Amino acid sequence: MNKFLTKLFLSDFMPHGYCYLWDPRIVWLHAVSDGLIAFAYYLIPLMLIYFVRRRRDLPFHWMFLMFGLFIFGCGTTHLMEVWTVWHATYRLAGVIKAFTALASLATAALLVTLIPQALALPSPEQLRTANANLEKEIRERLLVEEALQRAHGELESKVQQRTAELARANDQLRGEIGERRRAEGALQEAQTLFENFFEFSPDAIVVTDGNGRITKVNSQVEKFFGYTRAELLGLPVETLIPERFRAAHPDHRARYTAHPSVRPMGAGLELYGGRKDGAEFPVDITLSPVGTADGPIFLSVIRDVSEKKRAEEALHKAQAELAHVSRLMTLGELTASISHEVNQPLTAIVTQGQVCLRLLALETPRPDEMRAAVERIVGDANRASEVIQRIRAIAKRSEPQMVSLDINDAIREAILLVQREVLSHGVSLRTELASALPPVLGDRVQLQQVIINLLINGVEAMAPITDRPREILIRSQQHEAGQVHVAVQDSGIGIDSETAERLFSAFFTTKPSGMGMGLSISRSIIRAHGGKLWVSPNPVHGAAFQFTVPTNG
Amino acid sequence: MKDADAVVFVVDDDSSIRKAIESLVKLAGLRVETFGTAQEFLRNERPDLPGCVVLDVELPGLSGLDLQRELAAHGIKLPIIFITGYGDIPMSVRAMKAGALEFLTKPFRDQDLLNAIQQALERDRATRQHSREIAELRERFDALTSREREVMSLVVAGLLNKQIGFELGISEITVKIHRGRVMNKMGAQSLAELVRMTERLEIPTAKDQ
Repeated sequence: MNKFLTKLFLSDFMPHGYCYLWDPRIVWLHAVSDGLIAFAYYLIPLMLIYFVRRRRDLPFHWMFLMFGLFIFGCGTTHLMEVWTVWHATYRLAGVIKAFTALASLATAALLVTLIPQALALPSPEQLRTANANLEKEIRERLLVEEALQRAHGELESKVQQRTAELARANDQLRGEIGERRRAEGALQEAQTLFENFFEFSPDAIVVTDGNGRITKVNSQVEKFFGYTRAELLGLPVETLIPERFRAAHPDHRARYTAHPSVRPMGAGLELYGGRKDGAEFPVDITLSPVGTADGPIFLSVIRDVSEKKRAEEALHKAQAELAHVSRLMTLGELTASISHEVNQPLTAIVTQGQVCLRLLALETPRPDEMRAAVERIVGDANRASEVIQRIRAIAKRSEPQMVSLDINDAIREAILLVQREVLSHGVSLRTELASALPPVLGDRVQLQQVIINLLINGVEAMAPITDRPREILIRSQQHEAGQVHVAVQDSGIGIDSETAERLFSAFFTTKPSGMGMGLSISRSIIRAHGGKLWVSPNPVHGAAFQFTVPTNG
Repeated sequence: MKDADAVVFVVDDDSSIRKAIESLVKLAGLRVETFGTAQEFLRNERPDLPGCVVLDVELPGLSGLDLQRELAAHGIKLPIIFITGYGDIPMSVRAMKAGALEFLTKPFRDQDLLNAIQQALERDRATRQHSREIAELRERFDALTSREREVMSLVVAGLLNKQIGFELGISEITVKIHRGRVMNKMGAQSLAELVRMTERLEIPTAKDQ
């Protein structure tokens, strides 16, 4: 091998320049021409390789490479031509030529087989035409498709429209059916509800026809009145009225039937139901006429108010009790004054009695003096007794008795009980009682309780006053029509507006020893009389507690 | 105890009680004047006779205790018998301390009241007697010359004539003459009586100075 290579590069022949006789012109003509050819032949395969690499999509691109190889070989043979002008390596040149020949032959051979295929490839013109045709065809196809689609769409929307219409109609139909069903259900429900209301109402309900016959009752009627439903149906409604009212009832009923309206029965009257066993119970009754196709029927809603009555009575009793306790407490506060009121006439009686004894012991009787003394004793005994009666009246636990009374009398009597208390506090008491006042309707004891309370409050309000006279003024006068007004005015420390608000609430007191019930009870007493109790400040000093009570008639 | 020369004042706001006491006191033979309020009593002119006041404590307006103070302030020394419906201890103590003669609780025994009135009138008589005597002594004392008063003051202080003469810078004879005049003018029988008179007149003596 080594020998072959050495032989290959051996220039044991005459260089080619000899052929040119070393004429430099011919030598360089060949040398330069061959060099330029070689240069061009090297450049061409490079371009081909570059082209092939960039255009991978080319058909038969290996053919280009073959061309490249064959041109490269040709280029090398030309280069060898330049070389052999000066160096006679003809063996090498021959080998290269042989290699190039092989490459050329192979390329030519391949080309022969390739040409038919290459011819089969459409020409660009053909391709363009074909393309254009294709495009045209595509456009037409698209147009057709579009039209088709349009037609399709139209059809679809029409179908949809129709379907929607159908669905709507369907829905409507379904809705109507549902509504009717609901209405039927509601009617049923209302019917059931009404039956339930009617049946399970806490009030007894009696339905009567125009002739006062019972046509329907609920279970409360059975419970309240002790009859069974079957017993009552068809009976006159008077069956449910206590015996003592039965006779008068048909007339009432006739009057009502002539002018029916929704109203409570027997307004202002106490009504009673009569049980089967004859017992009575207090009721409230509401009457309602109902028009029907068969003429009017009447609904009587009957409420058992026994509990309410009992509660009212209990409240009433509790209030009276409280007022009574408060009176007792007031009397307790007044013990000193009251005992003085009794002690005064007793003292006079004792002394007059002793005078009588002395007169009896005289040798010469003095009947005139005796009589005068005994008369005074009787007078004073009566006076003491009156005081005690007044106190008993106040201390007595009794139901309030509303009578027609002169408020001025009540005031004067109240003053008698407290005047000692007033005096012992260094207070002067004045009265301005209007003459010819109409009588008021009230409970004497309770009204006096209020007056006494206000007087004692006034006296106590003035206890801290040392720089001015302690005065209480009681006035009575005609207020507005139908009201008498009483004011107890003191010159005490007065009441600020904040305290005035709370003054009348229970257990509020400004006194260290007070229970705070006096004014609260006083106000409830005056309210129960249908009047008002309030306080207002005086222009200069102190406060005025005042109340109104309705006149009688 | 008939005594038309004495008067009992009754002050009570209760007319029945006034009337009853009036009957009782009259029956006992005494003069009675009655009043419904303290002011009425103060306004009224009182006869110059021995007397006493039967006074209700719980009077409207001016109370009984107020009236007691008022009378004392005016130098009226009428004895007071209080009557009261309450009669608590602090009140009675106050009244008695202020010079009340008795404190009766209503109703009272007639005899208790009459006894108290009797006692009160006696006291007033004594007071009035005492006042009269003092007035007379005062008159006599006022008749003394200033030198005689000096001598009298030293005599009752227990000084001897000689000592008095020395004190006043006069002779013992002159002292004797003054002393005789003093005894004579004052109506004193003895030195002891003169001393008593001085005490009653509440004259400051030389000893006190």
